[in-house]
Amino acid sequence: MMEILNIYFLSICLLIIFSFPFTNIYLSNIIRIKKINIFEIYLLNTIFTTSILLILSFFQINLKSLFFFILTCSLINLFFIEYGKFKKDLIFFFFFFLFIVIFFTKIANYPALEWDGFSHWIYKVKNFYDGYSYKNFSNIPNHHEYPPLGSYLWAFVWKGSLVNNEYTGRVIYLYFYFLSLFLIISKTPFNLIVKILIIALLTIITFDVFLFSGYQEPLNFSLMAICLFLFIKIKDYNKLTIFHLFLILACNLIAWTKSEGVFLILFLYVFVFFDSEINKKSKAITFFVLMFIFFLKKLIDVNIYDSNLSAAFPSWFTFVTIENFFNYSNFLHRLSFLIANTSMSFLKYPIFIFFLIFMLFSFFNRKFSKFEFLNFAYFLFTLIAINMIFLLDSSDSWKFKAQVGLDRIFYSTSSIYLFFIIKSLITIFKKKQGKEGWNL
Amino acid sequence: MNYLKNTETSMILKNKSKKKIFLLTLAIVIVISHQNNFFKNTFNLSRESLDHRLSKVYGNCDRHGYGFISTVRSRFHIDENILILNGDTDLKSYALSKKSVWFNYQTNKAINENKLILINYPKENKITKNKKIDFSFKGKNFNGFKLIYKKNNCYFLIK
Repeated sequence: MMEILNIYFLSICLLIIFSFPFTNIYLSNIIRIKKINIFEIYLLNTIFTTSILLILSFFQINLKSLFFFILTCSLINLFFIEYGKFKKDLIFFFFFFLFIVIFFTKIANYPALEWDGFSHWIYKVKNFYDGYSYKNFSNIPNHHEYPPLGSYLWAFVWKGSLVNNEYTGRVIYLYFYFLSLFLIISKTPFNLIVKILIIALLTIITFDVFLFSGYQEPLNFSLMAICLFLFIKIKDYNKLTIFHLFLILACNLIAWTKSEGVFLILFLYVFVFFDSEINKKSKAITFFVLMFIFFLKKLIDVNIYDSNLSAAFPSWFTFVTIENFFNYSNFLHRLSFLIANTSMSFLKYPIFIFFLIFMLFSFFNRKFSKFEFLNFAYFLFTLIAINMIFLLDSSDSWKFKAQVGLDRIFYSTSSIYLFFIIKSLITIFKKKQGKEGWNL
Repeated sequence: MNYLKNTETSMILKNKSKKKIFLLTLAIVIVISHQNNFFKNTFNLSRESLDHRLSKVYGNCDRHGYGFISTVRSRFHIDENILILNGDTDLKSYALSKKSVWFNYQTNKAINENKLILINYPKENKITKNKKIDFSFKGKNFNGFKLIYKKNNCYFLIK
């Protein structure tokens, strides 16, 4: 019974914690952002609080005190919210809570950690749970060069739990996952019932319980969707808004989730680089910001973590020699293997099938707008880049790595297609985007 | 009079459509919950203890050996990191066979290699009580251990 209570307790705690610090009153009166829905406020709060937690992961802090301190501040903050403005969103928001509870119950019933979870990540989680900082990663077993964000969030929620087991902390991944889905859907012109049905469909094609068993991919998946949401939100790149700052913070969070996070941000850059509406100056600024994030991470890794320069780059990766790469038979052998595994990944995650069907649909209907083009460019870019990682890997175990890693990297990048799928649904149902919808 | 009648009718229609939406939403909630085994999972959570579920997931004296490790730790009051080796043939190297250590791992505390839990130890290599034993495990030799507790092919040994 305690566990059931704990599921509701933690789900409510997360919704309270991430309602802090920005309220609708603060955003409209001080930052002057009007027409912002409840999920967008949650988005800003989540990015802000998570960024603060990322900074705190470098220091030895009592997580339990931190959890209840933030919870108390958030509870006080509840008095400063104008609830009347959220009347429209409240039922949809209730579904957000419901989805978290349903899937958290699923995890609680089968609280298994899969391979990466119990061989790498759990030690990082326990490091924070036991009160140590990121600096102590060098003293724990296995892959101590991995970034700290996901494990810190996991440990943070676990500390606030009424039940002492690691699975309770994994609800944070569910929170991020459903926040990204609800955020995207909240800006569509569909009615409540259709919105819920679409969420259910998206969950069927993107939720993989295996990845929620200790992997960091769901976090990357959600953060990628959040970043694209912010990219779209910033329509005018010449005018600086608060969303620019949050975009940088969100990109930074991706870089601190997994070692390949920096590459994921570069993939996202397709949406800036190929968009003709964005001027060169803005493109350059965005690029330099991304480079800054990359070097900042490297600098922190080298100075805080240890003096090993390879700390910021996956230590398991070494490049193949040029002669070997251009060896015809070797290249063909690798390519055929990777094509087979890529196809399997697409079958494993139906979001790719949906994406390709809708892409064909747009192509044959001659509705290939700028957004369709950007999505297609992103798809090709990620397809080539991800396969190149394994084409260029010199180690003997490249096949094994491709078998266990390829599908997960594809999954991390797949949340971008959610926007395209939903846009296609809007087109199919001939719905007009309202003023509050996205400008795709 | 007509105006009043019209407003009354529109009110009734509004209420009816509200009721319809409510019922439809409720139906969707039930379908989604059922699809994800929400009711069954909730029932399981209320019926089975966490320890029981963890044993089901990670195995008792098989797979990761959670049940056996948990029993040994509570019965012999072990509150430190001890060596846990898994004889599963899928875990090919010695390093891989130490994966079950994480269950009760305490950060920055050394592993006491004088206490040892063996899970999935091959049945042909029998270990008997009250006798000092030497054995080899995936290329590493262990000497002078004594059997303290045994269940099927899982052992708790102390040097």
